[in-house]
Amino acid sequence: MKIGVYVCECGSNIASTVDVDKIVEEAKDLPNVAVSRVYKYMCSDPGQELIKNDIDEYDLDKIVVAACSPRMHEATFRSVLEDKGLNPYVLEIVNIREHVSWVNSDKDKGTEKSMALLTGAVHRSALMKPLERKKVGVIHTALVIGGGIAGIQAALDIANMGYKTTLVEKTSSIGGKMSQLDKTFPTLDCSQCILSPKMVEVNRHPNIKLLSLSEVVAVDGYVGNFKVKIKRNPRYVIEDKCTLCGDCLPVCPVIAHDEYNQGFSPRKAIYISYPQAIPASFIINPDDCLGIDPLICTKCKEVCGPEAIDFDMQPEIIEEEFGAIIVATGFAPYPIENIGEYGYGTIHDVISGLDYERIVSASGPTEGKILRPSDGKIPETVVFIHCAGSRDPSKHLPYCSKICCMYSTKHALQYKHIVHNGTAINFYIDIRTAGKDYEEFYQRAAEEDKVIYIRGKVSEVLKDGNQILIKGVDTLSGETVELHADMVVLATGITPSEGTKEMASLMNLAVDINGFIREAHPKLKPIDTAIAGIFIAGTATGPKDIPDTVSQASGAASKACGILSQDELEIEATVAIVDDSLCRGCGMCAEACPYSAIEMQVINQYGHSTRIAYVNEAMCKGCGSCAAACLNGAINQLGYTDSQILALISALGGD
Amino acid sequence: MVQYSYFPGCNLKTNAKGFEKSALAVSKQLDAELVEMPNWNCCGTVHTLVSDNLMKRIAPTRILSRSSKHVEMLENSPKEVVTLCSMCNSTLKVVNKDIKNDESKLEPINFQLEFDEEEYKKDMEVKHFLEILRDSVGYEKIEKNVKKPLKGLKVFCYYGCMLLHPDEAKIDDEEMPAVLEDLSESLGAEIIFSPLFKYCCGSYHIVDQEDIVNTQVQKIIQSAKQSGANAVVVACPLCAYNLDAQQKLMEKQGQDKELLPIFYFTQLMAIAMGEPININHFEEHHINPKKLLKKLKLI
Repeated sequence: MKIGVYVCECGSNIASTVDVDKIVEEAKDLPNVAVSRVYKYMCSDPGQELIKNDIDEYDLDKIVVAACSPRMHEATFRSVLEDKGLNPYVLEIVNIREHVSWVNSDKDKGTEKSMALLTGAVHRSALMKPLERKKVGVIHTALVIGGGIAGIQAALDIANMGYKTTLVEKTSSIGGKMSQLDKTFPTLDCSQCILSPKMVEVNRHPNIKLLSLSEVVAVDGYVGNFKVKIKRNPRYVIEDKCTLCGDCLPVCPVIAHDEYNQGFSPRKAIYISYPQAIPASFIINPDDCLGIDPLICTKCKEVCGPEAIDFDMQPEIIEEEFGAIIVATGFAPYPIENIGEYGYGTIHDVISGLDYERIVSASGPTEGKILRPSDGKIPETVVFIHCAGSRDPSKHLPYCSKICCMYSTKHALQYKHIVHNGTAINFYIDIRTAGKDYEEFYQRAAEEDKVIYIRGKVSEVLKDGNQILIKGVDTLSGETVELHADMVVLATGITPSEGTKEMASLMNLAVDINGFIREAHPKLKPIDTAIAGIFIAGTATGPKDIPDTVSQASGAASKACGILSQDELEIEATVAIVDDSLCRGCGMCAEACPYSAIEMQVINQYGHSTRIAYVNEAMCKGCGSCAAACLNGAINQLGYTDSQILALISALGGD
Repeated sequence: MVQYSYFPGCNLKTNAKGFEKSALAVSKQLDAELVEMPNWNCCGTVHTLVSDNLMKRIAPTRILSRSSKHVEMLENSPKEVVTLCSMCNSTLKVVNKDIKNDESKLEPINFQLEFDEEEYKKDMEVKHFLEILRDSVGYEKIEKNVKKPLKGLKVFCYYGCMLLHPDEAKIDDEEMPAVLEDLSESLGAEIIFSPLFKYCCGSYHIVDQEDIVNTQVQKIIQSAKQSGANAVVVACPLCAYNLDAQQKLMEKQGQDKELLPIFYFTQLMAIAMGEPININHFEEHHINPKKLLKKLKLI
């Protein structure tokens, strides 16, 4: 065996605190070392050439490089080995920059530590074996979970790039929260008008399969090869047959609260949630309907001309395979029922921001007139409370929900545009207008439209006869403020939706302390999750406005297509491997695995059926948690086997 | 019959005698008898709340220790010390939680208590009498014991601060409490809601800046009257004093002629449950509640 040792000076980065010449000399005496050299920049072309020449000249079969972190140049040096026909996994990198020279100013100690690390590496190198990179096939279809604006955008982008996409939506229509909004900041363009063209496009796109009323119930497999079970709940109306004629509406005897209008208007048990809904079909809500058991009532079925109603529909489970998954499961507003200081949602005229969106919307319960819920009168004074339940670590959400400053400003402005003589007062902690044209929008509300802004929190909101008593503080003047208003709108924050929580637990996606899905890296991998092939878009990862959501959705689509466009995916060779004869089937490795890559299987061995661990190499990330957890030493991580690590440790100990 | 170790505190023996006597009387009727603990001392009051000085926490800890011994001598008594005063309740609860959670605080206190041959073993819970009525006795039983429903009494339930704050001491939801309303309702009174039910009464400013108390009380009473109340029910001796005395002052200054009598919740119970009227010590009130009670034919 012949090992080549290469020490990098990294300009003065390493050489100033490590005596590189000394360690190069000493390395020559280490076992199996055939050649040992120093160079100013090992990563440069001449540096790489140096190694290549030596491989030819000395017939080297292992390489040790002492330089910077393997995160920087492992790939560079591996390709050097591959060029010369060596296996890329017989390279060992010793990090004497980040681990030694950058964190130490004593040259003697730095040299000593570098030499110890290098000795360990040479001993480990002797035990390294060539490893094979494996390949898996890719299924060229994508799954998008969640039919809000994030899911819609992601599905459209993937479909437009030519890949089949399945879009799964839990409710009866796609569109999500954006479909409930009246206007969007800062341009004040109508939310439905910019959203519905995209919804229609989803519906007629040949590459998109839309599954409404559906939920993902199981996800198995790995990048390129996910096996997914989707439960389709019955609509009781055949989508293709329903013509939206509405003949069923007058005959349906049931009246329920309309969820789309936040409960402010009635709907029948058979209904369409809003005129632009996609799929464009009525639905029967089985919880409201009397006639799912048709003995009681079949009125709608009797009048339905196209015979679209089918009480016998059953839930069905669809099993499909996908190459990539995008999770776009969105948010739920923080419930005003949690906010005691503002009345726990018991005061009729204290409403949430989303309630207000419906009240101010032309398609809403009041047809765009601003009327308060208790008595239908036009409120003369409306108070908008920012950060209702946000930025309050002691009682509510600790974080800023990002969109509330802007939507409250928009709400106040809309109120002033409709009720010209009215008074709109915003209580705020800080005004955060970090977005394109956002600050200008706020200035316009405050200066042109005379919206009043008071800096301070509202401590209490109390019912006082027909009015609402608001007690707060103006922190700019230091005075306490008490005033009466006719209506209060609470700018409630963004929390992870039930769907987001369910999907995170179903797919073992890491979540942050607030329940949002955690990105693989908060800055540099904001769209990836820790699981390869699963991407995130929209508010499932945290509060976002519409532009950010749409951008992230397009990013996720492009990431997904990066997988779908491959015929095969290469998997890292440094995966865990089980020695069947040593494994006793305790399952501790499966518990330790953060990527769900290990499952326990029963096999026939020595004439008995025994339980042993099985590693799915496509899912394994080579972290080594299982190898550390295994009491029997039955799991080894290729490239970092126990014998290699022990050789390294005993060399470090000066043995 | 359950007996409770009862800690009175200073107010109940001086300017809130009617509160104590009515409470003791109704507690007997409800088989939840309050028995005064022997050898009690000051609860420690505001000192314990503003300082982390352990010296200030010796007094409340000694009460907890003595009450623990007292419980042993009572009938079916749970390990609970019961208070009537909101301030005592708050003080004892805060200190009890604090020392239960932090052994290092209890140790030096117990070292001091050795001189009194006391040692607190972290075995007591502090309860306000309202909590006993709500959680242990139950409104149903109270309703059954009502002999004279308080018909015509339109009560505004005023909480003040100490029943609901701080978090460790609150006896009900701090934003929308219901215990006084539920109790008054079970006595047959009509509940009047006014938004200022937890608005500060002015508290200790009565000592140095009476005008602050005056302004606060004026607002509270005004709002209650506007909502249609003819009486106020309270649980705190300081609230009671401020609301009572300041109204009388306003009358003297000619600001207000229509006064709302102030009742402790136990006084309403005593009237409804047919206890003799004199135990309420209405003669010590600034505004005599008898006038209203006579008008409503409740006495």
